[in-house]
Amino acid sequence: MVAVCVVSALIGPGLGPARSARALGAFFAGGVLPADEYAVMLVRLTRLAAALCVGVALATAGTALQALLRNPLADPYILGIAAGGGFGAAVATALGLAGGIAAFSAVNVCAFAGALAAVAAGFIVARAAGILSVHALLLAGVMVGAFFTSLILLVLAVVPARDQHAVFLWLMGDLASPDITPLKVGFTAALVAVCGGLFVVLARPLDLIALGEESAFHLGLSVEKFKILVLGCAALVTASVVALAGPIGFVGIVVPHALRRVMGPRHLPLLTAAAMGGATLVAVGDTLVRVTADYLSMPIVPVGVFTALVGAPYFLAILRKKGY
Amino acid sequence: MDALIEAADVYFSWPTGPAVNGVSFAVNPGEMVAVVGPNGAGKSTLLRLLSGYLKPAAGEVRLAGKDIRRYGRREVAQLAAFVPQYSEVNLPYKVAELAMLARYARLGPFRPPGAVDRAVVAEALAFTGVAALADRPVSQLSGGEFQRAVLARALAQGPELIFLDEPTAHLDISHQIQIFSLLTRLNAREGLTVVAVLHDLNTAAAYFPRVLLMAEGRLAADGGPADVFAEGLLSAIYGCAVKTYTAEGRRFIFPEMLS
Repeated sequence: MVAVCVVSALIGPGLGPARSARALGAFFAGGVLPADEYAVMLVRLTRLAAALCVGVALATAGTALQALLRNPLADPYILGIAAGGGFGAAVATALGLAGGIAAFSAVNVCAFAGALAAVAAGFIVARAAGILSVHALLLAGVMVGAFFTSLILLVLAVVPARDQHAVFLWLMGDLASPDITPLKVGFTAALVAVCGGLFVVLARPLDLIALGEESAFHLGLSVEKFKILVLGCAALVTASVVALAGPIGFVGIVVPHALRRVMGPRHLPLLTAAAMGGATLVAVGDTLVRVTADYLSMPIVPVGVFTALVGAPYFLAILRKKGY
Repeated sequence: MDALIEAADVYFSWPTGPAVNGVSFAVNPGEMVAVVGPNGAGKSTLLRLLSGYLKPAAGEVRLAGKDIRRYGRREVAQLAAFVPQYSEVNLPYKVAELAMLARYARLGPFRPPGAVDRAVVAEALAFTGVAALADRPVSQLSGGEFQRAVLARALAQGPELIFLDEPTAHLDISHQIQIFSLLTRLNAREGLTVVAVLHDLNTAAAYFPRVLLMAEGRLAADGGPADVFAEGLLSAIYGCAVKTYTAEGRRFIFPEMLS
């Protein structure tokens, strides 16, 4: 993972690897850089940090949700977060909303709100008499997702072509946008660190909940409180990275699933590995699409397309090999 | 002697109708109690009320003299374990890992397992005869091995009381008697209190000195197998003619064949 980060930081147009290495050293040692080198490194490192954030967030949230929903096919978007966020972003783009909150633009804020609204809708449907049914939550999430997807299509149908393109690009999940500023990445990273850390702290209860809710209850876990905590934390962290970079697909499902086969089912090692694996996957993917676009002067492939193109066949191969 | 677990006029209803309708009894430390009765009599519901998983609509369940609702979850789990009829473990935890998870009641989320925890787990695995399978993923166990691994998990909690809901429903007769012999030995050696819901009346008669017979959410009888398993009472409650025989000091119960 460290190697990937270093390589990613060193390559790219504007600065060759040798000059990049020198610039990188100066950047972190607090040395003085020429303004142009500083600008190139700042863009490159911001984008890399965003990739790492997205990877850690999706992979740890996916791991936690697979335990909570006792479904190895669960991913962070199963609760309708991607579609809800997409709708928020589409509306903000279509209406040309300006403003925002602190460092975040209207698109970021609306995507975040839309994502959380989708989870909240599923949560309200699935909770009755103080008990949250994860089965109902899954079904509700699929329906809420379908509903918001239809709303996105509705928005796309009525907006001008220029906005359509912006919405499409957002929906693919992209880290190339100049909207991704260091300040935004910093805020997101802080939230990802808090939620990811909380998942690691909750590793043992996650082991218990994976045995089934009634078993977990009888082993001493306060099941209802725990479900809300994990769900809220997963929703928050997923919504934050969706708001930053759009719904980058398959990281949250493939990474925990693949690493569980290597690390075993216990959540402390699994979450740690998933955080690193997710970060590495998105960083590698984004570096590849960035470098191919820059050096081969190809059109930019959003990283979300790359992760889906790699993730889906890999997942199918796992299914074919041993079932789940 | 204070009761270890006690139901005081407990009521509970499902949306479909009442399930437990004013049940009172007390189980003392060291007792072995079977709960039997027809389908829908409220046996499993009663067991989940006793374990705190369901909350009574009226009445009170007392664990060691205190309302079970006034305990923390982990406090209850230190006193009482629960073996369900069927546990789904769809992640490949190893048998020893599964048992170590039961130490959560003592360790909480953070404290790493110590020598005591490892010793308790090792003893639980040895006692249930799955020590040789300690590093095997539970997904690779046979039905009998799996149920013993779940029993090991329950024992690893270090409980004074164990609830079982038809623990042998999916096991053949040889694995059935293994489980009940284990429970009997635990009861005799460690004074473990056992409360088990059973369908098989002959098993209840063979292994359990005290039987609660439930019908329509109420206790129809509470006593030794010789008293509870009376032909007239069983025939009335199960709605079919029942014959009983006593041989080699054991009570045997058979439904009469329909012709």
